[in-house]
Amino acid sequence: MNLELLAQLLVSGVVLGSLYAAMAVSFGLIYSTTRIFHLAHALVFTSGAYAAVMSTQWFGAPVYLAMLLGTGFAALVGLAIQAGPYAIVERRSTESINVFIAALAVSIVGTAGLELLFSATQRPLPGFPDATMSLGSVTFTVVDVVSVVLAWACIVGVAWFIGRTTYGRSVTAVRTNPTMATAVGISRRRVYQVVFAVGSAMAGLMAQFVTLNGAASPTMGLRYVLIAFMAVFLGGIGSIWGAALGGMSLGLVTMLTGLWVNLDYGTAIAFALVILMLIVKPQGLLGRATV
Amino acid sequence: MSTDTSAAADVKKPGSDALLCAEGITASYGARRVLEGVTLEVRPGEVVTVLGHNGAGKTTLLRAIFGDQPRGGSVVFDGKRLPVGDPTAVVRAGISFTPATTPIFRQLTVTENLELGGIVLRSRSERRDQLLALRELFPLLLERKDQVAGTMSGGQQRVLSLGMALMAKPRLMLLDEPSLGIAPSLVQQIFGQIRTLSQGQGLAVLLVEQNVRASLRIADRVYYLRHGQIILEESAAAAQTREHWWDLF
Amino acid sequence: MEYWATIAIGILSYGVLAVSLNLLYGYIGELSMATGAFFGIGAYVAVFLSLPEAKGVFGLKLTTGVSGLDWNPWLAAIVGIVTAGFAAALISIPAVARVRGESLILLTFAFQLVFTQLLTSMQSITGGDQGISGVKPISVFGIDMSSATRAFWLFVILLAAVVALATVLGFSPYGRLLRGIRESESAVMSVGKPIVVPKLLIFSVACAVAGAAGVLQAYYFQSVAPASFNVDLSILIVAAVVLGGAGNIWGALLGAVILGGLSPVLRNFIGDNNASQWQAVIFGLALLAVMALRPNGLIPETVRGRRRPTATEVIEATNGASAPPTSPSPATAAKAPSAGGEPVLVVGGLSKSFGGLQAVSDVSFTLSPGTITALIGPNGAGKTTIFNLITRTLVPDTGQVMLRGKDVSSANPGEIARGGMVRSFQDVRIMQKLSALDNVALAVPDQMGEWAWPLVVRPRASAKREREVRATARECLKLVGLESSADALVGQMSFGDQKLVAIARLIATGGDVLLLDEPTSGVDAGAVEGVIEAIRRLRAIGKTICLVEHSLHFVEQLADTVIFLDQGKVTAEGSLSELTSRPELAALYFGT
Repeated sequence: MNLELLAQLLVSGVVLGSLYAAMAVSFGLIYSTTRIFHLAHALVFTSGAYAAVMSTQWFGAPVYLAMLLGTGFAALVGLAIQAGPYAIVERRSTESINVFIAALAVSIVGTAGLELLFSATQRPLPGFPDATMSLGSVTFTVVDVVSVVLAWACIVGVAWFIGRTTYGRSVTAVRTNPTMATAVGISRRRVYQVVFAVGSAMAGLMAQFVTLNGAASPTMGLRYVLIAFMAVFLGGIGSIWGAALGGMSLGLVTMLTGLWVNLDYGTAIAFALVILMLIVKPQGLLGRATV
Repeated sequence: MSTDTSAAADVKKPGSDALLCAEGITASYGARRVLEGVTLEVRPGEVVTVLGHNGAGKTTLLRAIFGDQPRGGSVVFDGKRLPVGDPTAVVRAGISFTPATTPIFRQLTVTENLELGGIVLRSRSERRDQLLALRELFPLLLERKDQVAGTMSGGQQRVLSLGMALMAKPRLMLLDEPSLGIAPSLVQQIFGQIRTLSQGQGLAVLLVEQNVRASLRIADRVYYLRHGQIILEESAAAAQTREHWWDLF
Repeated sequence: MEYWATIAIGILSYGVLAVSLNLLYGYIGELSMATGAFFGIGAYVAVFLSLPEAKGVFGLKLTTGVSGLDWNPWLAAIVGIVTAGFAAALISIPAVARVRGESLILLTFAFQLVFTQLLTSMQSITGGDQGISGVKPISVFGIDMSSATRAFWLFVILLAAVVALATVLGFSPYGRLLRGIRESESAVMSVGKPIVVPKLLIFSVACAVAGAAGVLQAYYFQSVAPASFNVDLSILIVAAVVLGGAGNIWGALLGAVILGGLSPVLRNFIGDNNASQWQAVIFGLALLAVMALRPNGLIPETVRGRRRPTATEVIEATNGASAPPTSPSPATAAKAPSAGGEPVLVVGGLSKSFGGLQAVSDVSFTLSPGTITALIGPNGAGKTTIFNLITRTLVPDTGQVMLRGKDVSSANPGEIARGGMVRSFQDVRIMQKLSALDNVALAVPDQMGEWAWPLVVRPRASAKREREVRATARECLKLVGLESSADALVGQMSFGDQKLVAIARLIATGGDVLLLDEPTSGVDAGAVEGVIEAIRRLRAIGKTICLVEHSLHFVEQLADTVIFLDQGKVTAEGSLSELTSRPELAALYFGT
C-alpha cells in the first residue's frame, strides 16, 4: 500500500468529507424538522455562490465581504422559497409529494434562470489567499483548511443551538412531538422559518468554498445536495451528528477509492454504497436517532 | 334500556359569567364528521368533565377548542373569541392543553421540558420564577430535574405534563385523558392533585376522560358526549348517584 | 418537412418516456428519478451489441474507438429492451421490500447518478463523455429509415404500442389491483390479493418501455452520449408527467407535448440562444402554478366507470334489480345453512406481549355462524389487537386459531383472507381514487386479469371473467344499499357510505367470517342506521360477524353475544343485558 497516497487521500477525504458533513447537517436540519424533501436546497446553495461572485464583479466587494453576502443571500433565498412556493402548496394539498414537486419546479426555474442571467460560463471567486501548504508529502491549500474549520464550526454551532438554547429546543420539540409543541404554544411556522434560515445560510457558506476551489456554475448545487440527502439517510434522520458522520463517510469513501481504482469512480462507488445501505438498512447506519 | 337521545340535549344557554364558552362546535377529518354542534361552558375555578365512549369525539373537542383543529362554531374565552391555528395566542390568553398520549418531550430533561412549557412567557426571569414555584409544588420536578423525561414512569410523566401546563400561568387547563397509561392507584393521586390545583389557584379545568368514577370525584359538572353530540349535562353530585352509565355510552 | 418531423420525434420520444414514468407514478404512486438511466440502458446495450468491430489505429483515441459485437440491430434492440426490464429489479426489489416514497426517490436518484458516472468513467466500453457514434442507421425491410420524415413513423408506432399497452394494463383488473396497492397495501392483503409480483411486474414494464425509447433514440441519432440520459432528463420527465396529470395517459402525453413543443416554439420567437433555458423557466413556473392550483395535474386521473355500461352489464343489472336484495349468489350465499350451528371460528389461548406489556392474555372464544358477537371493553383492552392476531397481521406468542375446523395458526394474512375470514379497518382503508364498484371488484377472488399475461394471451376469457366480477361487485353493493352509487368516486362519498363500501368489499371476498373493526365510528348520525341495517342483513344471510365497538348504544342494537375484555383478558361473556347487570364489570369499565 502506497502510504504517501493513502495520507494524501485521507487528507483530501477529510476536506471533502467536512464539506459533505456540513451540507448534510444543513439539509438534515430542514428535512427532519419540516419533513419537506427540499430539493431546492441546491438552488439556495448555488445562489449563495452567485451572490458572492456577482458582488465582487458588480460592486467590487472584497472577497471576505462577498462571501458573507453570499451566505446571507442564501439564507434569504431559502426563506423565500419556504414562505412562498412551499407554504402555498402545503396549504393547497396534504400530500407531501406535492411539496417535493414544488421543490423540483423551483429548482428547474431557478437553475434555468441563473443560466439566463449569468450564462453557463464558470465564474470564479478571486481574492482569497491561495497558498498551498504541505505536511510531509501531503499537500493542501489554505482554502481547504479554512473550509474544514468553518464547516465543523457550523456543525458544532448548530448542535449547540439545538441542544442548549431554549429556542433550539423548540426546534427539537417540533421535530419529535409536533402535537405537544403546539400544545405549549410553539408556532410551527416560526420554527420552520428558523430552520430554513439556518440551514440555508450554512449551505450558502459551504458554496463559497466550493466556488473558491473551482468556480460558480448554474448546476453546481445538485450534486452536493443529493450527497447531503444520502448522508442524512445514511446517518439517520433527526441526528445532527449522524448526518455529519454520514457526510464524512461519503467524503472519505469517495477519496479512498483512489487507492484501488481511478478516482473518477469515487462518487459512483459512494453512491453505490448508499444504494446498498438503503436496501439493507433503510433506517440508516445509526437508526432513528434522538439528537 | 339505552337512553334514546337522538338530538343534542338542551343545555343551559351559556351565561355571561362563563370563562369559556364553546357554541355549536363542529369538526371533521376529511369526510368523517366527528363533532356535531357541541355547546358547553366552563366557569372560573370550575372542574368540568366530558365523558364518553372511545371515539365519541372527546379529543377532537379539546383540540377544536384549543384551535389545533379546524372547527365550525365559536369559542369565547374571557370575553374574547379564540383563533384557530394560532397556538401562541391561545396559550398567552391563558389556556393550556395537555394531550392524551406523550404529553411530554421524551428526549429532553425534566427542566428542559418545563422551560418549553413556559416558552410563551416573555421574559427569562418570569420563566425562572415559575420553574422554581413549580418545583415547590411538585418536589418530583426538583428531584429529577436533569432526568430525561422518556426514562420516567407513566405517572411521573403525567406529573411533569401538569407542571408544563402550569408554566404558562393558565386560567383554564384542557386535559385529555390524564388517567391514560397510569396504574389505577396512581390515578387517585394525580386526580387529587388536579383538584387541589384547581381549588388552590382558582384554576378552571376541562377534563376529558373515560375513567368515569375518578373524574366525577373531582368534577363539579359533567357533560356526556356520544357520537359527536352532547346528550346530557348534569352536576357531578347527581352523576355520582348513578349505579352505572351503560345507557350513556 | 424534416424540421417538423424532427420536432415531432422529440415529442414522441418524450411521450414514450412520460408513459413509462406514468406506469410507476400513476399506477402505483412511486416516483422514479431514474427514467433517464433506463432510457440509457436500452440505448447503450443496443448500441454496444450492434456496433461493428472497431476499426482504427490501436492506441489512437477515435470517437469510434469503442468496439461492439456486430449483432443484428433488431436482436440488439430486443436485448436492449429486455436488459432494461431486468435492470428494473435493481430498484423494484428494494421498492417491494421497504424502500418507499422519499427513500425510493433517493434510491433512484443514486441509481441515476451512478449510471451516468459509470458511463463517463468506463471510457473503453462506453466512449466516456463523448459517447459512441457511428451506429448503423436503421433500416426496415431494406428501406433506410434514417431521415426524420421516415423515422417519425417508427416513433409513432412505438408510442402507439406503448400507449396501447398502458391502456390495456390500466383498465384491467391488474391496473385496478395496482391502484389498490397504491393507496393501501394492507387493505389489499386483507382481501387476499398479492402485492409483490404485481409491483415487480410494473417496474419491469415501465423500465423496459423507457429502454425501448432509448433503443430507437440511439438508432435514429446513430450515436449515444451520457448527456442525453442524465438526471436533468429524469427531472424533466417527472415534471412533465406531474404537470400533465399523473395517473392519466393523456395527461402524461400532454406533459410530453408541452415539454417537447415549448422549445421549438420559443426558438421561433427568440432565436436559438436561450430557448432551452426559457423553456425550462416557463415549464417550471407552469408546474408551480399547477401544484398551487390543480395539484392533480392538467388532466387529472379519471374514474373508470364513467363510461356507459355495455349491453350485457345493463341486462345483468336489470335482472338483478327485480330480484329481492338478499338473493344469494356465489359471493353472498352462506356456506353454513343455519344460524347457531357448529362454531365456525375457534380461538384458543391467544397471547401477545409487546416488550414487557401483556397486551392479550390467554384469550379464547368461539364464533357461531349467523351470529353477531361484539368485543367490548375499556380502552387498551386489546380488542383490535385480537383482530390483528387472529388474521395473523400480528404474530401471536401463543394460541391456536381454527377456521371451519382447519388450523390456521401459522397461515399468513393472505391465506386467512382467502380461507374465508376477512376484516375491516377502523380507518376504513378504502381506495379514494377508485369508484365504489372498482373498490368492491378488487376483492373478488380468482381474477385471471390480475396477472396481466392473460389479458394478452386470453383476452376473451379475461373479458368474460371481468364482466362476472363486476356483476358480483354490483350485487355486493346492492346488499349494502349502494347500487346507485356504484360508479361514484369513493373519495367524494360521505364517510358512512365509505364504510358501507368497505363492508361490500368484505362481502365480495366471499368470506363468511367478517371481523368489523368499529363499523360505526366516524359515521354521522343519519348514516349510522344504514350501517346497522347492512350488518343485520349480513347476519340474515348466514355470515358470522364479530365486531369491535365502543358505543354500547350500537352494541345493544346489533350483538347476540358480547365478550367483555379487560387488560387483554376475557372477563365475561353473555348477552349485553346480562353483562350490564353485573356491578364488577361496571367497575372495570367506568373505573372505581
